[in-house]
Amino acid sequence: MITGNELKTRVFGRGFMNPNIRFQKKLVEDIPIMISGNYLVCIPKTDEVRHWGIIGMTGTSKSLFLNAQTSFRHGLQKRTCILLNDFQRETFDWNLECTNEQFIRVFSLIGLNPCPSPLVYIFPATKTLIIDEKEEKFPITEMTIPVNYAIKNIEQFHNLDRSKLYLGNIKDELVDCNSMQEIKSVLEETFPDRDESGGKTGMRPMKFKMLNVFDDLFQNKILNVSSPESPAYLEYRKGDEKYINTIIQTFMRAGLIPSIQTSDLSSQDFFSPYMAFIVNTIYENQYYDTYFKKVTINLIIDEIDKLWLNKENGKIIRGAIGLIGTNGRMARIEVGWATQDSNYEKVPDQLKGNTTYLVLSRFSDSKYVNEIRKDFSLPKEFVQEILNLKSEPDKGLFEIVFLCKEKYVLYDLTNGNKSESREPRKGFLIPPVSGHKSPRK
Amino acid sequence: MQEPYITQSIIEEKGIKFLKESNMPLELGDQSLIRRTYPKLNQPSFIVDLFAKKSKEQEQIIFISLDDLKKLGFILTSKKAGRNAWLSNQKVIYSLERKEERNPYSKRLFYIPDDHKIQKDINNNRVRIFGSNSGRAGAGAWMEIKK
Repeated sequence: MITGNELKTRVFGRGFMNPNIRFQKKLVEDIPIMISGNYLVCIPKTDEVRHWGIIGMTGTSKSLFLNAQTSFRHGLQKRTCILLNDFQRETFDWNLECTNEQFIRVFSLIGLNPCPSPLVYIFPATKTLIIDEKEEKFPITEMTIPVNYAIKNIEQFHNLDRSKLYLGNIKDELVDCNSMQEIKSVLEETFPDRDESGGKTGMRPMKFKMLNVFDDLFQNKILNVSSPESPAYLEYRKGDEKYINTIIQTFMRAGLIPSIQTSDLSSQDFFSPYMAFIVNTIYENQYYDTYFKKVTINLIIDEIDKLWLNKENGKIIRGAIGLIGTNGRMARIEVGWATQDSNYEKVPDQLKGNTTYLVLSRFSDSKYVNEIRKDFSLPKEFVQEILNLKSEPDKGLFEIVFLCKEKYVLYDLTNGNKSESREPRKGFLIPPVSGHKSPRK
Repeated sequence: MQEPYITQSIIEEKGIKFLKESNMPLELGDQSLIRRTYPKLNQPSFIVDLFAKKSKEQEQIIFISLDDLKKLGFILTSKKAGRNAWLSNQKVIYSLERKEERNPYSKRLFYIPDDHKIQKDINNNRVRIFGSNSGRAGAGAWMEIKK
C-alpha cells in the first residue's frame, strides 16, 4: 500500500520531502574493509579472536590496509594494539591525520574523519642505533631487555656448543646477577683455575669462553644494565593508580600503540631472540598480568616473513609466532599479518591455518594464487581477477579481493540493509584515516 | 672490559629517576609521551535516501565451472535450434536450467562448449551462459540463484 509520503514524492518529486523523513543515518557497527559495488564490506565486530592477513606484490596497498585496520581496531573496536615490525620506519606518518584528498574522499563515503593513531616509537637499543633528528620530534623511546631474561635464555642470543651443558648447571645463580662483575664472580667460583691442592683444573678455557659470551651480550648494549639510559621497565601513573611493567606493556596499558622500530635491529644476529622476547612477554602477560588478563591484543606484523630471515636462529621467533597462531584465541591475541605474494608459504602453518580473513592485493604470478586457493576454497576463475587487480593512488582507489572462512557483514549503501555472506568478493580498500607515507619510487 | 655504570649526569640530563636499584623500574621524567591527547575516531555511518529509486546494482562478474554451476542448482543444456536459430548454420542453442525444472526436450551437457563461458554476477546473485549460441545478444538470460 502506498504511503502519503511516497505519493508526495511521485507527484512533487523528492526535493519537496522533509529531509528528516527522507534521509536516515545508518551507523556501521562493524570493522570496515572495503566498498564493493553498492556494499560496504565489514568484518564482524566481536570479542572473538580471528586472525587476519593481507598478501600481495610490493607497493599494492598492504601497508595501507594495516594502517587502516590499526586505526579501526584501536579506535572502533577499542582493542589494544602493537605494531611488531616497522622495518622501514614508515609508521611515523601514522601519528598524523590523513591529508590526502583522494583518501579523504573515499573514507568520507562512510562518514569517517581524518584521525591520527596514538603511536609511540620504540627503538631497541644497540651499539649501532642512530635515531634521526626528524624522528625525535615524535614520541620515541629506546628499550632494552632485562638482564635476567637474557641470561635465562642465553642460548638463544649466543651459540653455546658444549658450554651449554656447563651453563645449564649454574643458570639459577647467574639469573640473579645484575652486572658483569657479579657474573665473573659466579664463573670464577664455578670454574676455578686451580683446585684445592693447587693443581690446574683445565677449566680456564671454558670459563673464558663463557665470559666472552656474556661480554658480547653486554657490549651490544641491548641489556638494561649495559645501557642505563635506555629503560627495560616503565611506570605509568594515572591518579593514584600505578602500573609497572616492561616498556611495551606499559605503553599499551596507557592506551598507546607501540611501534617497534626494527630497521637497525634486523641486521643483528640477535634479531630473532629479541623479537621472541617481545612476543613471549606479551603472551605471558595475557595470562599473569592483572590488567592484561582481561584485555584482547591485536598484534600487527608487517613483512612477517622477514622476522625469521636469519637461517641460524630465525626459528626462535617463528616458533613464538606459531604459538600465537594456535593459542591466540586462548591468550586473546589476534594477529594481523602482511607478506608478499611470493612468501605466503613461509608463513607458519599454525598461523596460516588459523587465519579467518584474508585480503589479496595484486599478485605477480598465478602459482602464488594457487597456493592460497587450497586454503580458502577460492574458485579457479578468481585467479585471473587477482592478477589484474588495479591500484590508482591518484584516485585513492586500491582494488582488493576479500576471502574468509566465516561470515562477513554487508551494509547496503542504498537502503541501509545489513546482510551476511561468505563469498569471495572484490572491491576498493577503505584507505587509512591517519597519515601514510607513499612508497618510494 | 669496562664495567657498565650509571652516572649522576645521565640521570639529570635525561630526567630519569631511579625508583630502585638498577634492573628495577624507571619512571620517565618527561611525561609528555603519556599526556599527549589524541582525538577519538568517530563511528562510521552513511546516509540512506529512503525514497530513492531502486537501481540495479553494478555487476561484478566472474567465470565459474560446471561443478560450481551444479552446486548452485543449475545444469547446462543444449537443444536443437531449428526455426529459432539466429545464426546461419546454427544447429543448437545452449541454455541454463534449474535441476528441478528440466526441459524434457533438452539434452544435458557435461562440458562447456568452445567459445562459451558460464558467468556469475556476484553482486546481483545470478548466473547465465555467455557465447554466440546462448542468445541473440551473445548471452543467455540471467537466472537468479535461489538461496
